[in-house]
Amino acid sequence: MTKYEMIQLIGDLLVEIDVMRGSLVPDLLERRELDEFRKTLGRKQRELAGKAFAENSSEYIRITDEILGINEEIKEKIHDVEMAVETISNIGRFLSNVDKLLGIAV
Amino acid sequence: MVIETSHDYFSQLNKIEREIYINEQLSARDTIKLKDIDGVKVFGVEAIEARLNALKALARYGELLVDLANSEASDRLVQEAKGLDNIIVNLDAKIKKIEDGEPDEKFKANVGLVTTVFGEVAGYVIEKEIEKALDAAINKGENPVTDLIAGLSSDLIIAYERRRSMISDMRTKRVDAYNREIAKGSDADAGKLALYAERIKEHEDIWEQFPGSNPEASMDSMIDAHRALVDYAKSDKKPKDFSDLVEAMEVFASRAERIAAAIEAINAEKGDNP
Repeated sequence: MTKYEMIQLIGDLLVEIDVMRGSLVPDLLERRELDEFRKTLGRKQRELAGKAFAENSSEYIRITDEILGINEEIKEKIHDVEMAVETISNIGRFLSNVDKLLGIAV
Repeated sequence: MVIETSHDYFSQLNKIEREIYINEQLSARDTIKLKDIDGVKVFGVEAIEARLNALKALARYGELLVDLANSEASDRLVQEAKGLDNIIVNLDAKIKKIEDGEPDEKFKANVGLVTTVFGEVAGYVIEKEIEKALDAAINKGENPVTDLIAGLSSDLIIAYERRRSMISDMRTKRVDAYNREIAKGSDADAGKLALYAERIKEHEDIWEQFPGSNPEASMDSMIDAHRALVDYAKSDKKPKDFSDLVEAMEVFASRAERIAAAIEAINAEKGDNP
């Protein structure tokens, strides 16, 4: 997965998070947590844009594969309001892995 | 036209980052810091200007190539070549002003290769050595031009995704404004509710049209159009060769028009907070 595909993947997730946010009452705890994650993820997307990566390195491939896997878990449950807590937890894991990715920028 | 729409995305990129930051601070009722506004740029001002110049150079080169393939040496062709030469000089000057570091290294390398070829082609045309100009364009131009367009296309992905992020977030904000008012129950202001509902409807229309403004498809067809142009320049200029070229140009033009219309619709909406 290239850096640009990762930026697009994050873009897709931001859109899904926005739909979830817009379906929750603003004062709910889960909503406030989502708002913070959304803000952070948006910033990480922008940060990624300014970095370069050794996209053939095993570390890059390992981390992006991990991100792809977590993304699939999020996609399965993000439309289910009953799974909001688990979804938020997965978004947190997604963000941690994006941080790891940023950590290996060249 | 694809040049104009790409121009719009690049020139708006830092504006969008500023708006995202200011909207975030407003939502959080938090302070705004100028150094943070400066810090949210993806590309520096010089880097954006260089990309806009690169797009201009590509457009002029494309026009020159069409005329080169179809005509013999003429004063008009020489003027076009001199125009391209001036753009290359400006582009080289812009490139030198870009600070070292990502995300510009690959872009600078691509521009270096392209301006060498463009300069050679323009030089031959100015000397009225048309065959040599065509040979240089055909034999040396295809890969550098393709690489430059592909690189700009990748940068446009960034610009498109950042704009998409902002527009998506605005959907949530507009719905929030309505829901906060409705939560007031019998104290909810009917006028405000109607206004917020209208804003949601307008913004959802923009959101629906937005994917149509994605410039990536148009940049792909720009690469195809350039290849078709090079193939035509190599050909014996039979009617089939020309009709293949026209078909590639028409696909390119119709995609570019759809993107331009979508961008116009998006730019018509003011990005104000609800």
